[in-house]
Amino acid sequence: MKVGDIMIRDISAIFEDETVERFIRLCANHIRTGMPVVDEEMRILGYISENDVVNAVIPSYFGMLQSASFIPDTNQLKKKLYLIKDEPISKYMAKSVISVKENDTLLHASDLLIRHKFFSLCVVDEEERLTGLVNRSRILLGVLKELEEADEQTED
Amino acid sequence: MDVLTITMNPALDREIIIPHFELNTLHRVFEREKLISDPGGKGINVSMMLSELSKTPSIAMGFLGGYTGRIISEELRKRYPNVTLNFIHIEGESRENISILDEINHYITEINAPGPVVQEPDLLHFMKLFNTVASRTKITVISGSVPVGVPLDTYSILTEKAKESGNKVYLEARGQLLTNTIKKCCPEVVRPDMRSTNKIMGKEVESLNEYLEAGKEIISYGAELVVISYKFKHDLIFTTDGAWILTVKEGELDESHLLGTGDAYVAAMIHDYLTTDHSLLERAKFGMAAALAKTFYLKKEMPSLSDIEKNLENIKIEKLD
Repeated sequence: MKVGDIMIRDISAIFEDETVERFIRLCANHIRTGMPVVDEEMRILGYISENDVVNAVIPSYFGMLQSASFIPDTNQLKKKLYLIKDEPISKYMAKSVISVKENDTLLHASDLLIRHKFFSLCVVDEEERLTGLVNRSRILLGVLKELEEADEQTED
Repeated sequence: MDVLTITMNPALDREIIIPHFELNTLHRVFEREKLISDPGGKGINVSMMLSELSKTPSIAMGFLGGYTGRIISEELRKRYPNVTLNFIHIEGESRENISILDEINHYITEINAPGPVVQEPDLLHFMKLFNTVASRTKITVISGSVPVGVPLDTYSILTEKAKESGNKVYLEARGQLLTNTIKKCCPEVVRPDMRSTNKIMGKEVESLNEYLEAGKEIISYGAELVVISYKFKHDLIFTTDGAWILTVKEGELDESHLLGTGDAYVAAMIHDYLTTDHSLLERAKFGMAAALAKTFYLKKEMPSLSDIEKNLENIKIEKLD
């Protein structure tokens, strides 16, 4: 089984000059946690996730603390988000995107997912244009199907 | 990927089969198969039918909203792996079309709910995405109505852009939307949607002559092929070479089976365009045979290629002028 057999053929994407606010609204409407950022040829320029935005609005020293609950809430989140909501997402997206091709094996895709701690990967064609996505549960589902097929063959 | 379909206002098509349907009565449905929920909207229908007919891949674009929108995209994703989704998810709820089919009395009762309101940023995003996607395809199908918030000249802008990127444009629409598009930037193939109107280009059509005038008018704006359904059993075909009337030779058409016939027509013509070098008249005949074959099914279902070919023999062609 190949990536092409189990991928989600959804090429919803966002352009790099869209704003952070637009990205948040699109994610909320679509129940997505992130989106590929593409150019006008549908080539992938980056990937923007909710995490990127959350990291941008939370003060950087929070990461060094075990708990931030003792810090008085001074509307930091609101202030920060207000400051960045009209900025282009290109400023916050991850620019190095790892993608797979439809002909790649499931093992290769899972290896990349685990190695880079991603939940999903972009799938691209030979010209590096977005054709869909693949995530962990789709890969596992694909492997389950392979197992079922193997079982059926031994029964025959 | 050769085909791009545009459905600005997709719907969840719910078909309920109720024999002896009556008003003011409680109807209980005992079999789950008699309650069908299908992704719909005319462009999406063409994508699904192309996938059923010949596994022809296509990209489907438009707007989806809310819970109904998510059911539509989930069903497409699950059942039609050849359809690549590229919808903009907006606030508000996508439409629902409810059809109550009564096979005993041959009635079809339809209730169409309104769609969401499209906001300007969503429309701008769509236009930009459209340019990106149309540069990769050969055929663009623009079909159906537009939701509130989408101006009536949108289809002509899309047609212009699709043509610029070398696409053949198929249009199926009605009313002002159709007239505007034809006048501002006429697509190559036009099929006026006559399901709930008797007007074409703003004029009422009743006699054969009035239909002929309307068809020729669309050709004069630059269409290659115009197909107009005429009194159920006929289709009027117009090209720059003249007009023809195609007639079903034998058998009665079941009015409760007309759901999706127009979309089967368009899907078949596209398949024909992509796989043969038929003349426009032959292409239209192939489309009509598909629509005819579709009427043997109650549900919105694409007939097989062999069914379509069988029905070709049941169509008579006469030149009108």
